[in-house]
Amino acid sequence: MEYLIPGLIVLAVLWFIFTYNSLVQARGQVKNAWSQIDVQLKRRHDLIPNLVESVRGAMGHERGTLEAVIAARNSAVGAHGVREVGAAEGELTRALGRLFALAEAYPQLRATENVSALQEEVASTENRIGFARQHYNDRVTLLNVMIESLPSNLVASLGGFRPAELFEIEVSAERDVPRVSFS
Amino acid sequence: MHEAIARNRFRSVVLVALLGGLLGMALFALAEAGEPGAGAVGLLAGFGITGIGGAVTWLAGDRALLWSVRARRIGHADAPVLHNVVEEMAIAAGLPLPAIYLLDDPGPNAFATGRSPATASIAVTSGLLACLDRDELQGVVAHEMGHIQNRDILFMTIASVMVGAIDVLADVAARVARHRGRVRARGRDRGGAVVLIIVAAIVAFVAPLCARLLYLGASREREYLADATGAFLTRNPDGLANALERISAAPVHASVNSATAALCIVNPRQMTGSDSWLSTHPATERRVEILRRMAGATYQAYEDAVRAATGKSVVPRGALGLAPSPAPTATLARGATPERAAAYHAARDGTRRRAGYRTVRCRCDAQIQVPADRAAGSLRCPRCAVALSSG
Repeated sequence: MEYLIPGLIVLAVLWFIFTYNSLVQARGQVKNAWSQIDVQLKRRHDLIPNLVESVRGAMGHERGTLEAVIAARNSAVGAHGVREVGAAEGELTRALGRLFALAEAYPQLRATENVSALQEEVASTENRIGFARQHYNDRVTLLNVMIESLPSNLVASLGGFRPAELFEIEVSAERDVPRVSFS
Repeated sequence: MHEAIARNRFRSVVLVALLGGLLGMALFALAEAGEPGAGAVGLLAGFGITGIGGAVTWLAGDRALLWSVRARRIGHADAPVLHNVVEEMAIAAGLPLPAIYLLDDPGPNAFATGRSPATASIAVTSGLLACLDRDELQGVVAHEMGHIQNRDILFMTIASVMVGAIDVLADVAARVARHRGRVRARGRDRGGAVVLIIVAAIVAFVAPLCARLLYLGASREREYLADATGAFLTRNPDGLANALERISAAPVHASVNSATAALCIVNPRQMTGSDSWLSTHPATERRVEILRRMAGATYQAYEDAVRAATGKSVVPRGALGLAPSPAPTATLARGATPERAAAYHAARDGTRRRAGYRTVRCRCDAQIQVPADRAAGSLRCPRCAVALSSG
């Protein structure tokens, strides 16, 4: 009987350590996932000037669309913080979506090897951003659930863990770029 | 998915222990029959050989498998689309980029190997690249990424090497039994010969059977679960379903060895026929049927579809709660044939229809698909910028 209280204390301390460590791990995974998004966004910023230059010849009179892509790209490069980046990248996704939708109507673009290779790279980058965001949001949800639910929230508040923000860009962007087919 | 990971680790250990026990027993009997009292040496030798064999398999089993099918490692410039798709799926799964290998084989197929996500490899045949579009390829790669994520690759690699080793051992045991049994039967020591024959019979017939049963026991569940992961990661069950149909309908099948065949996304040596206790994979039609039946790209939807089709449960409970965020924009490969483009759009439209999209037609003849929860009145035609009434 005299071991009961010390035993419970040891168990509580072990539980605290375990929970604290899982919180640290979850926070680390959120950070990693965010840096992965960052890598892919940079990749997209680097690819866009090349893409715009290579389609300018064929799509010269779509000037408005091309300018919009460049403008959105430049403001996305300068954005900071989850919200601001989300908004700027959303604008860029919309502009690119319009460009791709229009490019479907220029079969001569598809014949140019350089353009089709670039389009594959840009398209893949779009996918990667989408998948990286999906993965980041999964990790954030996991961390936030731990921070907010009993009993791990006790450890979280003592350790100063704060909930992370979801990265939501393409939810609205996807709605503005539905599939277009010309009949 | 930690349940699946733990299960695969446990089974790998059991398989190696089974082989060690068998080899120890065989060598014990051999040594004892040759020199009474020397059995312990044989036993230790058996464990030692298994230990070394296990370590070699652990360290180099994946490379041995890749070497045995003449796979060659490729970079981004060799196959940009494949490389991009693998990178996309690694990001979606939150895993490091696996090494990518190409097999010069006209039969479409793919497999994954390695002992952990950090050392994993994905191999696809040139036939696969030739006959699948980007979405289908993405489905196949996501299925393989599922095997990597659940550590199926560890068990499957160890198992295929071990099953091969046990087969060789069984063959040797059968020869020894025939030869030594004859020699001994003429001599004085009849008891030793009987023991030897019994042990050899166990090694020759029971061991390969046990190894196969252990391997087959869960291999179909593993394939179902990898299909579920494939659908979840891509958020597009139709891509994988189309790919499975194309692979099984291909005029030529991949000509890989039997150790590798069991690892492939569709077993090229069991292309036809329905489920039997000897099949490593569920029947392809069954897998396609389940994927097509999914109401959304969640593990829960896959579990419901499997249960409706087979009555079985394949998804671990820990995964059922993973709710996906909306699908990222998938794309059609540039330069795709009109037929391929039509198939792509049909699959895409199906997915969107299930998600409740409506179709709106602009005055300029553009057809626009709109999500159900999209507010009316805020829609502009992306072609001519005219405001649309979404009625």
